[in-house]
Amino acid sequence: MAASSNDFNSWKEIGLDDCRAMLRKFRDDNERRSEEIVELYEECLDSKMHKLGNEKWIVYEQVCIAALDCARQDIAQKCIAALRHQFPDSSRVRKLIGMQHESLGSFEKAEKVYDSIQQTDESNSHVRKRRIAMLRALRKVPEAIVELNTYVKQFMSDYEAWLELCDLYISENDYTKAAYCIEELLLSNPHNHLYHQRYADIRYTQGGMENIELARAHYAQAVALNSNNVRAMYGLFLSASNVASAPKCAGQKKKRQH
Amino acid sequence: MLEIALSQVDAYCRSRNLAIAGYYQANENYKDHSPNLIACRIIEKISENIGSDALLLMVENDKLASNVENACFTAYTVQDGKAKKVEGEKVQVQGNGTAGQIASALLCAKEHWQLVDFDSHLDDISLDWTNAHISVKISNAV
Repeated sequence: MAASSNDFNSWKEIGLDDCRAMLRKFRDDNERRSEEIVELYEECLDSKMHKLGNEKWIVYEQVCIAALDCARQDIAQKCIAALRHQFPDSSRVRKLIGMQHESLGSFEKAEKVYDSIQQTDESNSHVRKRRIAMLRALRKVPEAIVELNTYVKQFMSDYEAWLELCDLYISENDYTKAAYCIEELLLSNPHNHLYHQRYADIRYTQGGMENIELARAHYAQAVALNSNNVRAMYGLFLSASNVASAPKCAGQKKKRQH
Repeated sequence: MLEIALSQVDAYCRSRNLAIAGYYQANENYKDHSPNLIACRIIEKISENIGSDALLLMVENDKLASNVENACFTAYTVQDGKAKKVEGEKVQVQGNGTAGQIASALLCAKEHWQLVDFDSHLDDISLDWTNAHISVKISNAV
């Protein structure tokens, strides 16, 4: 998503309070604005971390992950050192160390760190997800799919995991199983317009009259739930046009579309 | 949405007497430069319209550092209906090295934050997917 140039130029003069508010907003909205977070840290926070009180630990974690995204190993190391000093036995900090190994390409070292975390806490879902992320980074997509399937059997309500599994199936062109993942999400979230639109996208891609009619229905539902969903509107237009122009379509069905 | 994007681009091209000449793709995996099934299908479809001049450019992510190299991609053309890689020496970027310099300058000025792809346009349709504002900056830099 494009940030306006105003955001960037003004950060050289940004005050500490505004800086904290921006970071809080990124955390609350779950936005991965890594380049901006690293800039904010360098321009404003680096010398003022001691003024943040107890918030500084969660900010260190946020800046560390952003630094790893931007390959800023210097900043990441600083954050990890500070967190390790404060929380020497924390598995959350050890997960960051594992992520640091991943960013340097040392996947075996990362695997060892995650193994040791899982030995102390079998139910830690973060570590299992990091393992799946590593498989994906190593382009071992079939293995990642197997691991993720095992994960969602245990953590069925993890919606992000289902979406990730759907993405993996799409990258393998297995649209039937990708559709199944979204069906699971639709069962528990029938009022989410994004899931209806996603399901319709997959059905439309699969093609064939039955799938396109299903796509049309779900695009229509997505537009009904959120009239600003442009993708759903385009999808509705395309699928309805497809159905209306199909030569073998029964006359009655055509009338229903109009 | 790919269908919509291609129809919009096609309509844009027809109104300006242009044609879709190629397709570029940057994979999300840093080290993966190979075209997937979709990229191959797209370039094969484009070559059905404009012939063997159609070009598929796969971006090499590791060459997109802040000092952009001139040819930071591998090129593929369509031969016998299938996408085939073009050998390194045959691929040259016009402009005597200025392309890389201009790209580096734009990256340093964080212009990539202003880049609007079709996906961003679908999130907010007021955004201009033709990126006319960036074309102006590139023309000024040349």
